Amino acid sequence: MEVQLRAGASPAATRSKGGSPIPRSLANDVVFSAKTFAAAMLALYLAFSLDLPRPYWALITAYIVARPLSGMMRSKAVYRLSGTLVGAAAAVALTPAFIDAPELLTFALALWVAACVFLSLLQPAPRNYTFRLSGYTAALVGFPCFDAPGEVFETALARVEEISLGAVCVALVSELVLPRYTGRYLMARFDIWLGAGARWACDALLGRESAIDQRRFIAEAAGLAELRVQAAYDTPELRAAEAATRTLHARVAMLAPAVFGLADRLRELGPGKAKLSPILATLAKWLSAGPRGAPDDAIAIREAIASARGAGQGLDYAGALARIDDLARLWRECLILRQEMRGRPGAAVRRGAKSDPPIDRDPAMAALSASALFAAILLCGGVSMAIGWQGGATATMMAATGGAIFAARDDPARMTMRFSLWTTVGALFAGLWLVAVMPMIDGFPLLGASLGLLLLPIGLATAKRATGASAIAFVYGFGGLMALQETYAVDFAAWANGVLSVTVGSWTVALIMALIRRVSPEWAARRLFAAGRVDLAAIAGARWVPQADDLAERMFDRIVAMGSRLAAAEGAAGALLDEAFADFGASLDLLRLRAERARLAPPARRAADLVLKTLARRFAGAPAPTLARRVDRALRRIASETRGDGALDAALAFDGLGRMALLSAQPRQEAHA
Amino acid sequence: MTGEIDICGVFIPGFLIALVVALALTVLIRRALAACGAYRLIWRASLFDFALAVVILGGVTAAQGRVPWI
Repeated sequence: MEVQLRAGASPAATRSKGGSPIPRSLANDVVFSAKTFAAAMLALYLAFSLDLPRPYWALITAYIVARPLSGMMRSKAVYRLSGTLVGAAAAVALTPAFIDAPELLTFALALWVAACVFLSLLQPAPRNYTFRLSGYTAALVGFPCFDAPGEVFETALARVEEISLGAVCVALVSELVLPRYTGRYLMARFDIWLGAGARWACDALLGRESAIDQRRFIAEAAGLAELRVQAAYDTPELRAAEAATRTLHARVAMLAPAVFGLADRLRELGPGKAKLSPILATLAKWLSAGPRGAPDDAIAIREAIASARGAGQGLDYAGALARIDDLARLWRECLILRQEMRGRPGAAVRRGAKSDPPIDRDPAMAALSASALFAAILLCGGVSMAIGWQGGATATMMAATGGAIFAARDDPARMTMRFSLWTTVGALFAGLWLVAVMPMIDGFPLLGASLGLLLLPIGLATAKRATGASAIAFVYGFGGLMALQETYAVDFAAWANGVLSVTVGSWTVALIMALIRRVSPEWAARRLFAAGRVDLAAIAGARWVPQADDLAERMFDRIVAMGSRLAAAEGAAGALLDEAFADFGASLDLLRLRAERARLAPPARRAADLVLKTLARRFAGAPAPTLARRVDRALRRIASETRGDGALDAALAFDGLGRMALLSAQPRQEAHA
Repeated sequence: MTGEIDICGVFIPGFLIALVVALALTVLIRRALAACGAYRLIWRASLFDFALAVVILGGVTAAQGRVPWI
């Protein structure tokens, strides 16, 4: 089960900001392409022999749903089926209602697509695919029926049939022939992530941490939540260990503030550090074993930490010790949970109640995307209706589809343009095919063989992350035009009209998106940062009391999303990540302080409350010049007036919070630009 | 078993009914097997599931028409 997989170990592995890629080799790619082609041909053959009206839709679906790993494909197939059903039903419901008023129908369909896109942007991946798909399926079924409204039910039925057929064929072939499981990839990805965390922690302990450690740790976390859902589809053991995996995710994320805070402490410590160096060295040695380390090594280390306590070196020293202890405890939990995830339960790890994945919703951005798409569809539909263009419906359909597919991107215009370019190339090929190849073909074997010449190389391109979207766009354009030829006799005029409408539709939506929706990566990162501040203000103001695990996952998700946007950024933008880490640490300290607050003596509690109130204001964006003074006073109160373990915990949480808060509350010039 | 079954005026092929029944049975049997831990002994779960579904569908279609209540 241990997959040897390190970042960049395989030469074919494509490096990107989205975490370590699926391990690939030419053999794997060839097998994947052959499997996809076999599934597509099976779907096409069945569609022909069942006399389904649009056999090429089944072929397109096979290529869209196919994924190299089984769980990814299975989840996508399920979401595609359900999305198609809902979308087709919507088209069937809407079209007859507005049969006499195409303007109203365009309006209603645009509204439906926009509403679906809005909802999909508020859902986590991979589930959001269902919403996107039910949006543009309605467009795909509804718009082409403008000329013949009576056919809407047949078109919807055909689409549902064809897509089910394609998805089922892919599922069968991909599961039965040489399946590759997402579960193993997920475990390998967690190991890489843990390794990156251990390395960062190690470097921090030895005083040589760098931004590269931190960036790697962030990059390796990208897409893990989505992968967890997909892995549950093909690896039953993981479904059983879902709680462990989820907790592991949160705990590894918590390594970030632990390491960040510890590094900050050690820098401040000065001469006292020499006393700690044996402990630091032992801990670093344990960490350098990476995810394969033994969880029980923690016991000796934590005993050493406990005996080093009480040496009367002041809060700085106690704080550093507490942070080291935190790190040792966290790493032990990570190692135990890692084993549990692999079906070998160890010592129990305390964990919070199970809850929904706490994803970060941004309704304002979602609404902006949805209204941009709405405007694009209305524009396209309105203009083509005004000039009475035959291909206008196809153009509108294309605008809706392209806009919906890429709505989640920061820069949807570029993706839409690329998609339309390759769709057009696919359509050109289909034109050549119809003129040059089809007349010679009599029967399915010959058709399959000739399609294989074209689609097998394309299948290789779909396996690569860099070319995958373009390759699928090509198949989409190719199959789409071939599908037209099944129902209508294609002459040159119809073909040219088809290509033209695809281009016009995608250009319109790309233009509108570029005008309304495009944001710079840095702006998007700042927005995420600001959302984190809103959470902090809510916790400080006691308006929100989350589980620590949930909070960690949510705060860290944001950092990962920021990291992928700031991957190339330097200077002020890079410093934003540091601030986000400080905020992450502050959020956990806030939570700890809220828990300890009840155990403080009344005067200390009043001082603490005052600090919390100031922090809440500070995080809400107001200036708080008295913050440092108040933290100091609260600390003195706690130190002088309370006794017992709880007091030390509270004091440490407070001290840590004060440091983090001060760190993240430094005035920034460009922050509110 | 050929012929169609009339449900409120909608004619549904008997085979479709067989499919639905077989699917339900497969899901139940799969759950039961998983609860017993049988999948730990099975080399390739999806291959097994597919074969199981085919066998059950075969059984249901064979029973159709012979067993009066199906």
